[in-house]
Amino acid sequence: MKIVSEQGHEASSCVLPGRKMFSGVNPRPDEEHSRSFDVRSRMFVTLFSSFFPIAVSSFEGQAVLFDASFLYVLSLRRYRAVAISYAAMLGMMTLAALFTWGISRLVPAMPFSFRSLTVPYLRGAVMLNVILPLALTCRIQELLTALKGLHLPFCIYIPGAVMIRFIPTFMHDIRQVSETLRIRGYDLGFGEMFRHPLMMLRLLFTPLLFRSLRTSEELAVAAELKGLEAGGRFVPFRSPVWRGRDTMLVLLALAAALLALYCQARWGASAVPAMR
Amino acid sequence: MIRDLFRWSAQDLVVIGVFAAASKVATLLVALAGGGMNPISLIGKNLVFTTLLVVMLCKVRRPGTITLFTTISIIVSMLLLGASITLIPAMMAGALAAEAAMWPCRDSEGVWNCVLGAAVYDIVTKLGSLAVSWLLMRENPAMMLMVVPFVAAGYLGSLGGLFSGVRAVRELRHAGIIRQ
Repeated sequence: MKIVSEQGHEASSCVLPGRKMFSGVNPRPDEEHSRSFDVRSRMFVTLFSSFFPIAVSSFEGQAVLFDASFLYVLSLRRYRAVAISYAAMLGMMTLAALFTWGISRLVPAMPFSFRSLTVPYLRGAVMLNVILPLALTCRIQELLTALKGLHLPFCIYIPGAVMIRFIPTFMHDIRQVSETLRIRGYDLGFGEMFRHPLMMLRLLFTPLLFRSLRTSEELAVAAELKGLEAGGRFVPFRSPVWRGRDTMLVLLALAAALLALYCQARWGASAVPAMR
Repeated sequence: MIRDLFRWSAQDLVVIGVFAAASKVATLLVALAGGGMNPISLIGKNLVFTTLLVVMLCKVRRPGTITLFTTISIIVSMLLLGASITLIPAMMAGALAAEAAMWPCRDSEGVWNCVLGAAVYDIVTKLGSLAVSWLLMRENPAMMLMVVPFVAAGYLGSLGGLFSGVRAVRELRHAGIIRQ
């Protein structure tokens, strides 16, 4: 599955699934690599976003985080992928708003207002803005190298690396099982999933469970044969390079987070009560 | 003796990694195939997750397996998927409670100790996730009311997953993939 060119770049078959899904006009790998951020800096930004949007509950603070993260996602210049993702997110948000409106009709003590939904929705949008750059630009090999670069313990690094590496294999297995079922005459459509959910689960899930266990045994044998053990020395395929722009990205993310916290402290108390 | 209990072989670590990936992708696909967060896809998603958890616990019979599985899932989710840092206490509490529940019968070879661990993990994690949901949606309590039935529906799937996990383990033992 892994194809490596003479320059040492992996072919597009082993990029993250999200990238394949949103394949638009992609720059050449070497061009893209030279002008993009290091995976570790993107991981730091994702890590920030798992904490600060939760801590900030004022509209002003969330607006700062959203603006900063939106500029970050626009810097990818993958406008089509961003538009598709935003369309999907808007669809889900509309559905949630309709449910909330329905509850407000049933329970009058909980009035419905669009303003009260703004902060929770902005939290979701910030999350989307930071995940998209990671999903659209990072290769699996880079993720593995970055994971190793974090100096995690052996018992955490190996399962983490296997997890990241196994996801495309597992999706390939799912595709194969689905094709097999279609050849045998099963309809795997949306309606059939609702009419016979247990049968569909059984048909799809059982072969995948067997495949997962077989794959884990094969991978384990390969790991033992290669002498992977605690304290072993790993040589990365290509050493990651931390550039000045990566430091700048992390500092800008930190500055945006601090500004959001300042806005929270400065204007949080004067915001609309339901949005606090 | 304690040190031997927590010494992991490469095979155990690989199995944990594979199951962490399988649970992540399978639950995501069930949710997408079911057309989003409706009760049926929620039940299916949790059923698949709990079944995988029971099978993994039967395959890797070591104290600390569920904690390591949770740690890996959290690290990868936080670094790559932007999962909320507030999920950590609920998931770790679930994992530690499951370890404590499984500890007295850690040497038993049957499937029931694994089922007990998965059941404790599910209930503690669900309760913790409700607390996290309140934290995330505290600006609009009406949305919280919407979350509770969904989590309850998910828990029904988890209960079903315990039974399907037992059946899957029996089948896998019969096939010689999981050894006593």
